[in-house]
Amino acid sequence: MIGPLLAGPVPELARLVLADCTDAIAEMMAIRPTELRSTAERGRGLAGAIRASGTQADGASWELARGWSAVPPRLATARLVATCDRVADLLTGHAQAAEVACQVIEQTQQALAAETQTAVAQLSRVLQAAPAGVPALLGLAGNAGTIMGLVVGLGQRVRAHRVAIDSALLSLAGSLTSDPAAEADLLRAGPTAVLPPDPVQNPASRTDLRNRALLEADKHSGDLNRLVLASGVQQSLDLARSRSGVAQLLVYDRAAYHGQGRAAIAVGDLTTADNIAVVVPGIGSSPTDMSGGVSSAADLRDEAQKQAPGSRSAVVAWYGYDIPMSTGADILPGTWTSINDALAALSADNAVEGGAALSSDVQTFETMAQSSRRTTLLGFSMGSTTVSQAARFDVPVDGVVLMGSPGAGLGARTVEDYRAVRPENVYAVKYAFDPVTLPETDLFAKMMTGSTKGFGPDPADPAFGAKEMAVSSNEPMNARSLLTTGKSMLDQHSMTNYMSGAALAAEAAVVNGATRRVPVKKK
Amino acid sequence: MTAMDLEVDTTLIRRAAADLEHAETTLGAVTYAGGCRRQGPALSPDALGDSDAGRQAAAVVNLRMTSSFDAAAQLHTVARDLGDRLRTAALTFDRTETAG
Repeated sequence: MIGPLLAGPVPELARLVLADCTDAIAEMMAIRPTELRSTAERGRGLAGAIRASGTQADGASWELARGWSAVPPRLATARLVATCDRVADLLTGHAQAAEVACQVIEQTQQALAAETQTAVAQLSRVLQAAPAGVPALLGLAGNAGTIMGLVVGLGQRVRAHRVAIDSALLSLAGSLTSDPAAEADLLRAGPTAVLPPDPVQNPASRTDLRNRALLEADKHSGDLNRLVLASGVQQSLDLARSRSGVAQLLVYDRAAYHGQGRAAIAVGDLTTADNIAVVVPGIGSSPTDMSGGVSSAADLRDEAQKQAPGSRSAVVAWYGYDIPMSTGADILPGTWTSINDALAALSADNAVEGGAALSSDVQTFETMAQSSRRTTLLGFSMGSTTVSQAARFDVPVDGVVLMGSPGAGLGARTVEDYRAVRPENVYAVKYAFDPVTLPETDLFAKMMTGSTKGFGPDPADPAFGAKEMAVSSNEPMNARSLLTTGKSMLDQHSMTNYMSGAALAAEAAVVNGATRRVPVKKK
Repeated sequence: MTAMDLEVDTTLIRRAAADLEHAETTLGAVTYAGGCRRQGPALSPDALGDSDAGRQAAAVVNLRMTSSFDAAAQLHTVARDLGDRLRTAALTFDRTETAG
């Protein structure tokens, strides 16, 4: 504490002179490494118990090897043993990292206390050396050079200590990137589970709880970007919950994409769902307002469950890529970020990067789900390009629906280029008057960027090989409607238009795997 | 599944189940207290200082502490359920043997 350091017969002037340093010193001296050490000790104890239980379970492996020739029981027990060992190793590593941080903090605090006491003592001597009868302020002025040297010297040491402590804290946070529950979860959910998931130890709901803890912290942050992102995500979560009773925040990363952030909300419980769908929005959307994606996700879930009574669906609104033209909704983007964000709408580059992120997230979602679930990816506009790019990765899904697509992106010449999905399970939805799906949009983008890349092939083109859904726009489009309602062609290109009416019914049928109920145009 | 196409010693299977029960007990002792899930000691948000780095590190430490108890709880459930299955299997084999 800075108080005791400056206690005693220290002239008031010394306190004033050191005022610039005192806040920083007080902040560092207030750190409580003992609290961290106590937490680390608890983790070390937990590691010991988990390691001991692994040794006990290993006895079971040995008995089973002699007592039962069937392989699955031995494998399941061996996986339990291996997981116990790895979790124990991880927790031991975490405890060691915490101990290292404690030592750095304690050494820094000791050095800081000693240096501050020395500086205060020297300063007191200088100030008290003023001749009797000379006002204190004049004494101060007479020793300005010495005092300045003391203050500057202490300030430099305080800054160096701040750097040392921050480095130790960042290093500690960096050492804790691995989640101890991740491998244990794989015993309970996902394709390699030895036991089925249960609602109490549900990995999706735990992921939700953790992300909500981060969200809660951001809701009280002094950083405006964090505050707005967190408030927007919270509103979307509330909306999802009001629509389905269960809303899970599966992805929450406030730092991604120059402040845009990343978020994904499941409408419904991912872990117990028979059918999972992931909906990806297009340009101009942002995690700060996911209401459009969440509403469409809830509509799709309702329709899927209506078509297959007794089935359980979870639909994820995925705002997980660097969405072009999102800066209108993001807060305080830099100028270059804004310009790049606008230019990104003219190419499939962000969708290519986003495809990898989507593929990775889908893989994570599947580890939280039942091994028997169906998974469908649906993308609208640039979101469809992102889904198309994700389908190039070998992360198997059961269906893909590309809605209002400007193009499938590079490297996806036909459905045969998709490794994630069988060609017959790829669908395209395209409305006749949707300007974004017209070839002119691709030509315009190429002209504006001076590039030959554009958005790639039209997924609704028969040559691409996808099945085109035989559904009509929900927005009337003729000369009369233009005159009487003032609607423009751009109204054709909305996620709501592509996820309502006959289109929604067809998409829900794909989600359920009832592909015979999907109306398809004849080629 | 019958004992005829497998080599089975139900005494050893029961011993294996007992080993898993020991593991379950060990994990249960650190995971549960009076029937309630332990959460682990949480650091105060400012325990590592009031700076961004301090608050962020404290949040990560707490997150991982919660995860550690989650992991122990998962392992506890797996040990318990595997043990139950082994006991059920041993019983089934014994009955099959008797019936045969």
